[in-house]
Amino acid sequence: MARSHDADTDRITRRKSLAAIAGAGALGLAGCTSDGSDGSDGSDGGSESISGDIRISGSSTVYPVAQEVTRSFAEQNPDVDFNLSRDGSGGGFENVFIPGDSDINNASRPIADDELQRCRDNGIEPVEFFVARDALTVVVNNDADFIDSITLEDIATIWSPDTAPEQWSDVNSDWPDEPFDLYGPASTSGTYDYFTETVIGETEADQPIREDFEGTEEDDLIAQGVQGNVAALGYLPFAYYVNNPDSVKALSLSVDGSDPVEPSLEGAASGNYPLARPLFFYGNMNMIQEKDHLQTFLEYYINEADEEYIAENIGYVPSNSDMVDANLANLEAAAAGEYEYEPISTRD
Amino acid sequence: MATQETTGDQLGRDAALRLQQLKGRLFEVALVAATLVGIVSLLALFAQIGSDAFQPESASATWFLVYLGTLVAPTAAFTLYARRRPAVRETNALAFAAVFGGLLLSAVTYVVVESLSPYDVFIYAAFAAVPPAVVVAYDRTTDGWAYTGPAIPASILVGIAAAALLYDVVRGPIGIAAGWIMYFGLVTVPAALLIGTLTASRRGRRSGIVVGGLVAGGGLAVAAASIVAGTNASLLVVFFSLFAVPTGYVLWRSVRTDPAGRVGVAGPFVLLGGALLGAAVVSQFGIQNPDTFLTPNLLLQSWDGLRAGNAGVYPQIVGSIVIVGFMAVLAFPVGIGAAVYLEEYAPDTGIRGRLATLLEINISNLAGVPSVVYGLLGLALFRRTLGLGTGVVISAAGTLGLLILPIVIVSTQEALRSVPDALRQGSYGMGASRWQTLREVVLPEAIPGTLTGTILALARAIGETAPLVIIAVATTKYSPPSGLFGSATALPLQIFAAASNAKPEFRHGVVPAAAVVLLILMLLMNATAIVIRNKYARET
Amino acid sequence: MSSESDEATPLRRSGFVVRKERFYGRLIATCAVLTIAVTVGIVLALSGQALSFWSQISPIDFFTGTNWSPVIANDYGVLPLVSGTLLVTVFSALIALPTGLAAAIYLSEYASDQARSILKPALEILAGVPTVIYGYMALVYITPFFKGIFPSLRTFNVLSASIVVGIMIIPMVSSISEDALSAVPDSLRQGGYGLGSTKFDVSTKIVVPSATSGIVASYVLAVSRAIGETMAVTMAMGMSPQMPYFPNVTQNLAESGQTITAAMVQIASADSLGSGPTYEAMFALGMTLFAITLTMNVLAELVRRRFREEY
Repeated sequence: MARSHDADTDRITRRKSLAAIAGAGALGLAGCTSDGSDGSDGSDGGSESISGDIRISGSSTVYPVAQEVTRSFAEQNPDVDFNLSRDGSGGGFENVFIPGDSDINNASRPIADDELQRCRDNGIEPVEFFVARDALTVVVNNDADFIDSITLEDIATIWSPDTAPEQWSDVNSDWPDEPFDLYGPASTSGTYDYFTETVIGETEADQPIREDFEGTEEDDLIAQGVQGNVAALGYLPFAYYVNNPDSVKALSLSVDGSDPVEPSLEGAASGNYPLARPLFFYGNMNMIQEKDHLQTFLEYYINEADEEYIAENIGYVPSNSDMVDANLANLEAAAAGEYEYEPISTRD
Repeated sequence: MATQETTGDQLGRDAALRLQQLKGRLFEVALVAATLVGIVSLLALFAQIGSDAFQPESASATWFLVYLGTLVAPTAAFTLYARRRPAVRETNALAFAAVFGGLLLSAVTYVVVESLSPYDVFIYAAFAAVPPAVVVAYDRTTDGWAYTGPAIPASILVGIAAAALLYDVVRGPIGIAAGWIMYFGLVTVPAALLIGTLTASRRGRRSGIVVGGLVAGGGLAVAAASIVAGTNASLLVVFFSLFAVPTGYVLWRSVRTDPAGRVGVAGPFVLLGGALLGAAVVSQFGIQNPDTFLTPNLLLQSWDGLRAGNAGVYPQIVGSIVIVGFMAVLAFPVGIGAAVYLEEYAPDTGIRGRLATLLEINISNLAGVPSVVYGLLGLALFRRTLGLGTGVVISAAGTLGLLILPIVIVSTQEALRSVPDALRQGSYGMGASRWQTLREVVLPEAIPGTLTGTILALARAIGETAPLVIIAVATTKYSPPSGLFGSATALPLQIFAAASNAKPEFRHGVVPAAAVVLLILMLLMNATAIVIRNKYARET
Repeated sequence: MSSESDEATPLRRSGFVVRKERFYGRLIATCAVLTIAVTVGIVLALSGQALSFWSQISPIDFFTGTNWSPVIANDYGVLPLVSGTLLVTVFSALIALPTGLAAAIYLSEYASDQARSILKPALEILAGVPTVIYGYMALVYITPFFKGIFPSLRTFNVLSASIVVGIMIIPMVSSISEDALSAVPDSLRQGGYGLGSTKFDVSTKIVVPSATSGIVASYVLAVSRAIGETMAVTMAMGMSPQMPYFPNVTQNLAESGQTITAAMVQIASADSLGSGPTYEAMFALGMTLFAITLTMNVLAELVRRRFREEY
């Protein structure tokens, strides 16, 4: 029986499309089995390279530190598969850490009681490590010649909802009659939380801060806002200021009549700079016990946290040797399964 | 009726006429202006972002002159020459498609297979290919078999299942072979079969076997040569099989069958050769390059958040490609199925008809649902219900697949609607069943339109960020995704994260450069869709 | 395939073929029904936590409150967010709808084949640009440009966001409207010319009105996309929700604001507590958004079917 030419080309087309489908399906299912390492063509040097995966979630403030530490660790140990995400401290706890999907959660604030409880309900004990300090910088426009330093009390007055002054001169008669134009981190940011708790403190009004400021998650935009108005005032993390020193002018801070301290890392490290908030990361104790590579990485992370480049390149205040020792002790306890988190409120 | 017209009447008529003509022309001008407004604004923005990415002011004038001479001038001259001669233009277009398509296909194949592990891909592909080959052979020898149609997909599934079961047993022994052997099996063998079959259909079986053998032999030779030279054998095998061989075949056939248009095949080589020559001259004489972040570093390295010159987005590029690829595999069949149902199977009246109307309203509503809501759906479906980890490739692919599903359905519906009913009726008249008509007549006609719509949807999805943020896909990874259930990463996420980096050279240097890479990916996909559409355009 | 027919009764198909047909038919129908599953899935995914949110925060306060300040003031009034979304939608529609329709008329009535073959793909590119990049371009190029003209423009403003969203949705209007305009049979046009109308008259008085249902459908799709746009408005508009200024409507363009979608993304990536009403508000907002777009689409579908012309 004569098969027409069309049938042949039809076969070819069908075979081609089948091959394509098979190929796509094969690619798909091939993904199911993921090898950590192939060990195929070309062998590496003889050093023992550890392997495994490490998932890090959480605060976008701590992210730059995690980013650099994981990068240098991954360079030396290419078989460790890192995953970093920026979910925010709370988002990281809620979506990733508490369900047990991440090994480490970065946080720009201590873990909340509610989060702690839910971790424990899930059988996870969070291991606290202190990583660095973020020095908050109060900034004004580069052309604002009328001010070089400011007291914490004045800052509280400016930002508190109880007083909420309209103009600079309302707070200090030496200052101009210009209305305030305020910029700062959005209310969902940990920087905001720290500022309201530490600087403004308790308020009589129902809310912790005055509402008429421009809040944003992007430090860049706080600086841009301040640049746009001579009468503008804002606060942002020092890490931004140290990388863009010409964009805005940083004010020295003083407390209760003490000498103004310039915003610098030496000042913050010395403990004299009043606005330095602690940054943490929390480990999942089960994972620490199970994964050897995670322990190795955590040891590396803790030791790196007091290095110079944390200050020079990233802009945070590094740990000091006491903190490193405390962290290492926590790590040891966690690896042995003996660590238990103490909420800040119960510590002395 | 011709009557006496006074001059005044005549002038009045002309004036009214001219006013109308003026109105018409103004209207047309206004329309053109409106059409161009969006395009021109976007071009202006592209120029800005391109300028930030390439930093042309930092290159010396000599740099521009060199490239003008080696790249721009010859290519322009060639294009002008080709424009006048339609035959040359056609072969030129074909050559460009073959060369750049081949290069792109090779690069993407190598990169994706390498991330997923060539051994795994080979095992699954081999297991999935053998059963249907057996079915087809059986069908051929027994002069048609009623069960061939369903048997082929079923046998593929059986093959994949067998691969999954036997994986652990087979992986060890297979792992002994070198990587390039896997690639040989994956790309060179199918390429040889394809070219051999094409040649056989034109020039007879023996020629086909010879040519196929040549391709296979060539692959082996390339591998051997690169092992001796110490270069990456796998990469070269892939480039040989997916670029050199198809391009060579296409170009050779053009030259043989179209003597008038023969010159056209030189087009892409003029471009590439010019670029390479320009690069050689620039590096030889140490001419100042632009101080750009759009460097091979960006494309091949992994991320570095502190040193802008060291930062690369290779894992993110591969991640985006892998996610979009899986997404297409998931959304395409379901979308086509649903559209076929709505257009071909669903009645217009009665209960079923009302159900079909409801389905259509539902789909058009889903097309408008914001991408964040799909993110929440993905979170609930893939994380909570199915219990997969956070931010794995399949969750990302599934979420984005659901996002583009309505678009695929609607464009397939449009494509199906444009198939003339006469074709369907003709097929029914010859006694074909509905499924046969679909398979042989309607779908082949509608596939180009579907492909166009789908590729445009994919191009849009490659840039989606919000749903990935909500399902907690990792922003930074130092290696590409290793499989379906490995953790994913995507280029737009890293761009978004880099936009808040404290260092200005990231915000104003790396971000535009990475954005340009993403734009190029999107433009490539759009270009593919346009080429497909133009090639298969029907005269309506 | 001819061997599949039964020899004895040449016009009846064998049982297997019939079953195969039915199986394929059912398989295809399943694909279609899956789309309903998606909608059901969305509703289920949102409702759990949305309802939990509304049990803690009164829906009345939610839908009528004029202050959205969940962390500072514990206020969950959604109206500022709705107003932000509305402002962006209205201004971007003002840009996109006339422009898109004009482009569609040009492409379908006036443009030569060559012009069309360039302009159509060019317009498609507008829709394909990733929204992150639109947001970046709005912030880094468009805002400074307009600040040069209007110095009182804030860094975050509705104008830049509306412009990029408008550019983004032009192709939706233009390509669907163009399809509708092209589907108008030529006989109608020829009839108009035969009566002595100009091209302008034919286009505006005959073709466009005939294609109304398709044009309206394209408008609705475009507006839905504008309502649901996330990344571009997040990057360009800021995060300070506020109620609109009434008498001086254009002042709103110069101010910042926040849309529903931007608020959702802000909650998803927040440093603050990941549970409780603040987090669940995200689901309530999603539910609200879904309801809005659903209503719009259903209304539009009704309008479309009512006014659809049969040729």
